[in-house]
Amino acid sequence: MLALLRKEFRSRIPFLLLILFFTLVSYGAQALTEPLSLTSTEKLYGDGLIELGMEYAITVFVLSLALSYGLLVREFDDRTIEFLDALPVSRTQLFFAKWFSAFCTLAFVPIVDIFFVLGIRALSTTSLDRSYHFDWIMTSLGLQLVQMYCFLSIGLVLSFLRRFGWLALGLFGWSMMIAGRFIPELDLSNLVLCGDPQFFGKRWLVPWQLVFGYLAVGSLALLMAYGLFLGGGRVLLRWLAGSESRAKQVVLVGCSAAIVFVVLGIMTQTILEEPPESPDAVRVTYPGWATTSRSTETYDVVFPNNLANRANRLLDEADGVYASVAEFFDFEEDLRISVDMTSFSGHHLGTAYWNKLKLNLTSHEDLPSLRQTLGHETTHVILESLSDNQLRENFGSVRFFHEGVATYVERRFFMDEELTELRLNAALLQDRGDASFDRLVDNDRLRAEHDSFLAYELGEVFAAAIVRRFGDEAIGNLARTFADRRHSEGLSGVLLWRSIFQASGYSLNEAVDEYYELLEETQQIHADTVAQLPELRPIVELEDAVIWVGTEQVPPDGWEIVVRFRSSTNATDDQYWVVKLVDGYGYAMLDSFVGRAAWYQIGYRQRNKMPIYQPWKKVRIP
Amino acid sequence: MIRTLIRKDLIEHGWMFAMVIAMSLFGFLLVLIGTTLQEAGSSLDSVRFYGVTLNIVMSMVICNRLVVHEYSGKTQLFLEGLPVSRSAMLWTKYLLGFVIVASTMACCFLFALAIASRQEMIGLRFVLIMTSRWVAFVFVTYSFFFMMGLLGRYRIPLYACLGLSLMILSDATSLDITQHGPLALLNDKFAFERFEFPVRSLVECVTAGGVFIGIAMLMGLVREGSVASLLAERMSHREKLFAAVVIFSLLFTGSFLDEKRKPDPYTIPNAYVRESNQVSVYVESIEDDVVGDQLADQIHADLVSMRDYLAIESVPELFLVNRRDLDSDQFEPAKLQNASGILLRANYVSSDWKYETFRPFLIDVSLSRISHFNAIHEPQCWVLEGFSEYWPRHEAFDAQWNESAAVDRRAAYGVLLGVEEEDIDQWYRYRDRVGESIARSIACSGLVFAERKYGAEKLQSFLREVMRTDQPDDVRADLHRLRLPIEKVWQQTIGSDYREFLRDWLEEVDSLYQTFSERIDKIPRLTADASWVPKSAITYELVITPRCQPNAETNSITVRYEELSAFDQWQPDRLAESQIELYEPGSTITVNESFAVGSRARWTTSLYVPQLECDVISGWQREEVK
Repeated sequence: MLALLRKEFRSRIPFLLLILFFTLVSYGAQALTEPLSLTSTEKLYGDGLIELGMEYAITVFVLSLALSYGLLVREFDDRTIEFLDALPVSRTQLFFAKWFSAFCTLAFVPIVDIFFVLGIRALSTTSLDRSYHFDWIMTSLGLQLVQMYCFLSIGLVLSFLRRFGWLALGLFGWSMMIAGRFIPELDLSNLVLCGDPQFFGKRWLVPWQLVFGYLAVGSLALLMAYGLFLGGGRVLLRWLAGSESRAKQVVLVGCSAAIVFVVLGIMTQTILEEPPESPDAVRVTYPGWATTSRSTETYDVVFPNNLANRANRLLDEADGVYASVAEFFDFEEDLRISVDMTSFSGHHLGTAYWNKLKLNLTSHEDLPSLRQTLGHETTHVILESLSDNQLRENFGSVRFFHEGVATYVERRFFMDEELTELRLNAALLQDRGDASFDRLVDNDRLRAEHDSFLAYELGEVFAAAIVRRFGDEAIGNLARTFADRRHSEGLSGVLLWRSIFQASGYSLNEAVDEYYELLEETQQIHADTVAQLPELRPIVELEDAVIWVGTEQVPPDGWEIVVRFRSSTNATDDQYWVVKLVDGYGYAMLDSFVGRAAWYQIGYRQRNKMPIYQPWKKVRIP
Repeated sequence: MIRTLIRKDLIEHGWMFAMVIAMSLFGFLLVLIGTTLQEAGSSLDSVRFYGVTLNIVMSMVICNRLVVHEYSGKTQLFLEGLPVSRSAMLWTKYLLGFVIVASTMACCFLFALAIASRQEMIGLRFVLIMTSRWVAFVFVTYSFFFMMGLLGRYRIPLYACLGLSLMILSDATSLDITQHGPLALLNDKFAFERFEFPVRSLVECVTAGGVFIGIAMLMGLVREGSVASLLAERMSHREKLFAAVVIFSLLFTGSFLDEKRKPDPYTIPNAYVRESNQVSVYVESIEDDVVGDQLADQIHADLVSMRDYLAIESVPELFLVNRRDLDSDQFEPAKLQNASGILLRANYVSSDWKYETFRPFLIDVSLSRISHFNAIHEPQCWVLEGFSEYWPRHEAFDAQWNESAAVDRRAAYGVLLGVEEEDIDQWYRYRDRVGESIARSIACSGLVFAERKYGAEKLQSFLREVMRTDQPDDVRADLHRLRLPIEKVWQQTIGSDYREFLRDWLEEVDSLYQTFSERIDKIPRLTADASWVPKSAITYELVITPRCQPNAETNSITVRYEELSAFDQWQPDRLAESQIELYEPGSTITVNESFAVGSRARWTTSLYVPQLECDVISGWQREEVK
């Protein structure tokens, strides 16, 4: 028996050398391209022993097949089995000598790996962890050996099927891929040992269920291979090695052609769907940042660590901001507001929903601007709280009030300028007759005809008018009235507001009169600037598939002319697009518009300020 | 007799040829439909796609049947018994296969031409150009596979070697294989080039095809065809292993050359550029901003003087881009793939920007990269970290302790937290215990002390040797470090015993503390305990009890925590979550996150100390939830 084992091990020497060569080359490549001492623990143990994954499983499977395909069958092919039968060894002894030598050869793969891992570990260890983690090494070795046992046994069975073994393997692989779609446990990636390791602290938990599964399948395959080697295999081999019948060849060629077509189809589909990124393309990766949570008396805040200074400066004053707003509304309830400062939306400085705020810290670096935004958004939260969230229920008719009051509070309490100085946009709109209250209370109409941004500018004037006419407490009272749904149910627009004003003990007519009065005063204050900004007369030209919009008027110093388009009346704000003007003209492609009409807007803009657009205009596309 | 030979091959392989032709034509139809649906520009483009895919497969299959099958089955011996010359037999096989492949391709071309003629103008010259392209292509590819068929058992390893060699050649040199030979004939101009014949490629292909035929005939005819017969035999086990070794070696060579290839430098459009003294600095130019211009000067001057001081052979290009959503004291090093240089991000247009804050980061990152990270190893890591503080300090102060230098105050505070000889050797662990700022300041004190005790020149030569930038970026750097540990470097450059220096240095920082003790003793020291409080059978909360002695001026304390994997290694602090809480003596802080049994976490508490201009910590603790 020993002589037999010696002979078998001698036969495996070339394969052993091959494995040694592969391993040496692999680690040699690493050693020649990076210092080994820089290998992190995670990379060394994780990639090298623990999370070996599907790629490693495939490599071991290929090695197992390469080793097993000639192991038993070659004795039949070369007719050496007859000589061996004549020796004083049984087929069983012969089988197990072959199996054992092959298994030991395969086991050489992880063993050599482990030696290299230990060597690199000796070079790369740091004071944070000096351990060599022999427990992980032994677990990995055990799992790899189980995997090899199973693969080698399967390879031995398949070797008796000759080339049909590959077909059987392919069919098995496809079946598992399909089965894996319906039963996740059967997904091949979940069936790999050392694929998705689980740890309890530092202890690697052995996936016993999978290990037993591998052992069972491996043992069954080994028994089958043993049976075939004892006798059944000779018949099978003779049948498979017989003259190739036309039918057999047709099946083989047909299957191969089908595979080629499927592969070609998949390749074509992949190329069409995802243009592959060039492997030589420059890629830049920046490190991520964690977040910080901080609570003040009123706010529970989360912000990114990369903006900690900015956030902390604001939060040091946040309770003061809240106190100013709450005092204005005479609001005494205990309210905790969650603030998410991790949002980097380019469209908003902040948003409020229920008791939650989102604040864009990147929009401003200076503290006053951040206080203004926090004050604005806090106003929204308090208004909703006062109204028992009924303002939101009447959004279309109430938006101007919500945004107007928030802008009013923001400007009155958190900005140094006089309120009237900040009302240039309102003055301009009044000058052009675009400040109608009837339209202001209908948000959909405002957006469709002009600009939903007017809710801020004109709403602020309306809030100021209420305060001037009825006092500071009036706005809080109006919001509180909304809490009683009887005053708002089934109403909208002016009717809704009339009902709310009446229930609050105020007169809407007086408020509206005050609003127009305030607008006229504002118009007079800004008369000089308004005079420099005459109504723009756009020139529109259609050329092939392009629409050009521009004007020959020259804006005053510090102002520029802007043009924007929308695809249809129903387009939302984020679906508008502003175009860059070249020689006073901006263009859009006609196929960007829905139907046979092109929508555009023209207006003025001061640097770093919101533009003031004229109402939307429509051009028929011929 | 030739007719008999053809008949024999058709009887033997006819069904296979019929199947291959039918499948190829079917495949072509699918490609044609696909091309039409994708609006590829011309239906003729489908011929190109067919040529480089299905036509190649067809040539391989036909050559395999006509040549490999014949020789591996040794049936050519029967043919040699017939009254026909060996060369006639080979030519018959060659021409039979060529006619089949070329006819199929011609059918596809004519069909595509018929469809294309309904949509575009097809001139005679255009047809001739395309015909010359695909005929030459079929000729060279078919001849190649015919020749390879005669190579018998070596053909598959040779395919692999050839493919890999071409890939390596293409990667390692500027050779673009798609611009030469057959690939240039069926490139994306195939369906659109109407005027010029691709003469060079045509000549290349016809010549190559001729050479392939010549080699094939040589193998089939020399020594009465015995070469081809011998090559057609099955591979031995050793040959298979040898082939595997050769192919794997080629793969390794390819990946090795790819790894070692230095990519082009990164680029920033609109940058302020400073290029002189072998140092290049690019700072992104932001609209209407002059800070970048000044910053480029500052960084360039710093790198040049550092380069001279440390005798750095080559400094990689440094790129700095602005990012507004960073605090002015936060910086980001980028990881670059397929581009060389050091790329950093900072908010230098911020009104709070201070170059002095950025400087230690710049020095640390630059030197780490320049030295290929060799300087980050224990026990010499303290030198690199100390240098990033020492370099700005030595310009502002002399080698005497100075209370107005924050770095000296921090070092004195570090003594309060305890620093031993083994801490210097176990730098990562020490840094975890006292925090990055304090550890760097202690390291800086070592360099200041060394300058005072041994002189600036000796210190300079020590620093040059420790942070050698001419180390190769591979295992030789490890070997060098093993051969020349810091003790030896110290001995060689300073001329004294390293251990003795460590003892003297720690005594010196102790006296530094004594000098500043009145001020330092008032600075709070943080300690903290933690307990895991069960919330359910498998979920726990981390409750931390911080202690601050003496009490801090500020009443807020930060808890920092992070879930860990099973591996203990250095983690950047920026990845740790933070929680700012009010501090009252004896109060506890419950971390806003629950942890499952079996998970691991590290945590610390920290406090900003204005006197030190940095955070102090209670020390990172790594724990497992049990």
